[in-house]
Amino acid sequence: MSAILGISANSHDAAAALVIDGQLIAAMQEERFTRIKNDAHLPLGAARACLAMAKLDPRALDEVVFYENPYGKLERVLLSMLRTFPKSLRQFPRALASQLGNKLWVLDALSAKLGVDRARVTFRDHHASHAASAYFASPFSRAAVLTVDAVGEETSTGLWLGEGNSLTCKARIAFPHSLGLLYSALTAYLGFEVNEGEYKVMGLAAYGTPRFRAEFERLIQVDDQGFTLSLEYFDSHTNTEVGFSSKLEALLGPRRMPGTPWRLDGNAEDARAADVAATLQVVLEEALLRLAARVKALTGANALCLAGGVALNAVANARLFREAGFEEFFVQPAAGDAGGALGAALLASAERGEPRGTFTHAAWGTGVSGDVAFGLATALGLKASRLESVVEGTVERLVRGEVLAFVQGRFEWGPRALGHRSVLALPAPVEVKERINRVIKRREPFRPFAPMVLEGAAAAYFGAFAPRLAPFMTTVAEVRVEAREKLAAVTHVDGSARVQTVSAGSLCGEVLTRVGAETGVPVLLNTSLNGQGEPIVATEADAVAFFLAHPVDALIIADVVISR
Amino acid sequence: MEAPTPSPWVRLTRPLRWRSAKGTARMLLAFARAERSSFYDMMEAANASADLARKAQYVAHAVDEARHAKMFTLRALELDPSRATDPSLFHADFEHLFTVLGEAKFIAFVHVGERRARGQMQLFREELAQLEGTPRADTKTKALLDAVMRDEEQHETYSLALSQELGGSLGSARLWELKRGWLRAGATLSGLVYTALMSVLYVALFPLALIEKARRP
Ligand SMILES: [Fe+2]
Ligand SMILES: [Fe+2]
Ligand SMILES: [Fe+2]
Repeated sequence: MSAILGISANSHDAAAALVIDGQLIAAMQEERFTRIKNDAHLPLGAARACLAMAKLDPRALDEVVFYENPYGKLERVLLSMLRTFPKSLRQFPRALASQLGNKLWVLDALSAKLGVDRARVTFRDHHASHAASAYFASPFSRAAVLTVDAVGEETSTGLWLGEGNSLTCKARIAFPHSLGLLYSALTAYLGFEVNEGEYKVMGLAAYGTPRFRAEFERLIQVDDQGFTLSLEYFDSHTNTEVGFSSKLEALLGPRRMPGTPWRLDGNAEDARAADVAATLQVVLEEALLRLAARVKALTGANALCLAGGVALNAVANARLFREAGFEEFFVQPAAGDAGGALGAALLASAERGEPRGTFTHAAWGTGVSGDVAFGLATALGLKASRLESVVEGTVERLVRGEVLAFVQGRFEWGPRALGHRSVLALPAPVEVKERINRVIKRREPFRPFAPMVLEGAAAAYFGAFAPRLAPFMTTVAEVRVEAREKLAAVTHVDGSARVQTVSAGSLCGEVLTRVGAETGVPVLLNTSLNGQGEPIVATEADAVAFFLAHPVDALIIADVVISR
Repeated sequence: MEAPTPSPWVRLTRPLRWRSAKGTARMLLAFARAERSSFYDMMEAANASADLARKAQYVAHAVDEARHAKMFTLRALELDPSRATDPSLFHADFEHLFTVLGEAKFIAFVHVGERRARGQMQLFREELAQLEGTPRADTKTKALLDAVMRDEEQHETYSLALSQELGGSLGSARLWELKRGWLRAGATLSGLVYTALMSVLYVALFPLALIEKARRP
């Protein structure tokens, strides 16, 4: 018997994951507890919630595993400071303080704050944790694994073989050559927040044409080994926050100022921004295809697993599925650094020879109670009642055209809401999207909403998609031309959609079946339940606070409906 | 309830607030940050409290603070759009005060904080009233302060009642706050000393930098 707690923290998006006897028990991001989006602090709230879920005392843990090597990271930061001497003068005190201040002592801090013997607190390498988060969660017994992110200790890209209970690194590419840093530099260049705006860049790409190929060839050279960046365009070796140099502006034109409203209907500057995003997307996909070809040659495997922040790019994942030549493909929903907590725990567990489990759903957070929701709503003087049938009550409102906040069971692991903490509505007409955008999300106009579809009906509405990715919304599919009007609110400008498939047996599956019976279309618009700039809702109180601040028509928590 | 008198320091900084739109924006963003901090603390309280009536009070309070933060930020960006590019625009401290202090002391502290904030807003509101009719008049900010202060007065009232009910001491909350201010000032000072020392160390690393560059150009 072994109980292992995985922890990721201190870069962005901290998380904790608990694995007992090889089986995942709970996995949660700290942001859901502190309500600070992408909170990177030590995930004590998440760790305690994981332990509470298993009714486990921290002293009963066999191992607490941190997802990266804190000493390796310090070395990389110091060396890159030396290499960029004397330009790094201003970064030096801050970088050193941030490394020495809490990052270097993170293992001691975990031991002290969780009350676990220091000897039981260990670490695994950053990319090994990424690789494990994909491979050990996959159903494959042999697979090629690609890990692609900004940077771990020193590695930015890893090519692995997963076999049975072992993971072997076959090749790696070192910082500062990094697809993640290329992407975040361009994210900053386009005026979005790094580590947050990457989705927006992907959405924006659909509005542009990749007309900057020649310019990008100067930024990044793709070859059989992978890729090389031309470092003079990037500033990431001294400054990971903005990450691009004035040379990039000389090459692609002036950067876009953050916070400027978007005009994608004829404004030349914004059209140029969209073209840059489109070129970046294509170049990223091609680099990933090269890496996939190389890892296939190195391992001879027919299944591919992908992890690291770059694996959150659902559009690139769809292309890998179509063109990389693997029969099987898996991407776990928390593919970014939060997923490192899961990977570290699964890796330590595999090393102990524990049996592997399979990641069949994403509901690894804490649950909600109808009694608490009802009591809270009543105390606030809200109109609340208990539903005899959650499915019927939900469907009745949806079919009427209402926009619902829907909170059921345990919250999701990873950045996507998959029907446990969602805003739901009918997938047409297109005005639904505009209403949600205007009053709830206030998103940029180019950010699409995603459809949730009954698994058995997906083929009627969407073209081919990766079947192991769609349940976790880590891929996109083409919306069939004849279905686009019926799915007007969830079809992106390029005819694609970030589709989520749902099995008929689940609660959402039942809702979709009944919606299909009523409207003829077993599809719903599903977007995450959170206000602008806030993390997704976790508890009853979070959900009620959302309801008080946003004009959704009703909030359904467990069997309680709260309406206006 | 009578608002308390703000410190002389707050009065002295008056010219900085109203001379330019940028100065006003800076002040509003400081308010927004305080409101956001308060939102985090109130949500922690709402989630930690098992008593449904208090949970409800904390949720309502948190929702107010989130709305205030949003309103202050929007107005600040109207006055000074260049702040939109500030990466720390939405950052705020979260000190987990509910966990650190316990419920009784926490709510006493909330009362003390609310009261002081309203005192400040009251002063700013009066200053704005005096500017009425001059070229520097800012009716939008004045209306914003009016709307926010109505909520703050309610926060002040309920937190006082709750604090008395739970037996929290306002005196010890004030004392704790003084101590925290002292520690913060110390941290700022040592931060400055640290930066100076590290910059000296950096220059001393020059020979190592030469070696590293020679090793891997
Ligand atoms: Fe990573
Ligand atoms: Fe407030
Ligand atoms: Fe307040």
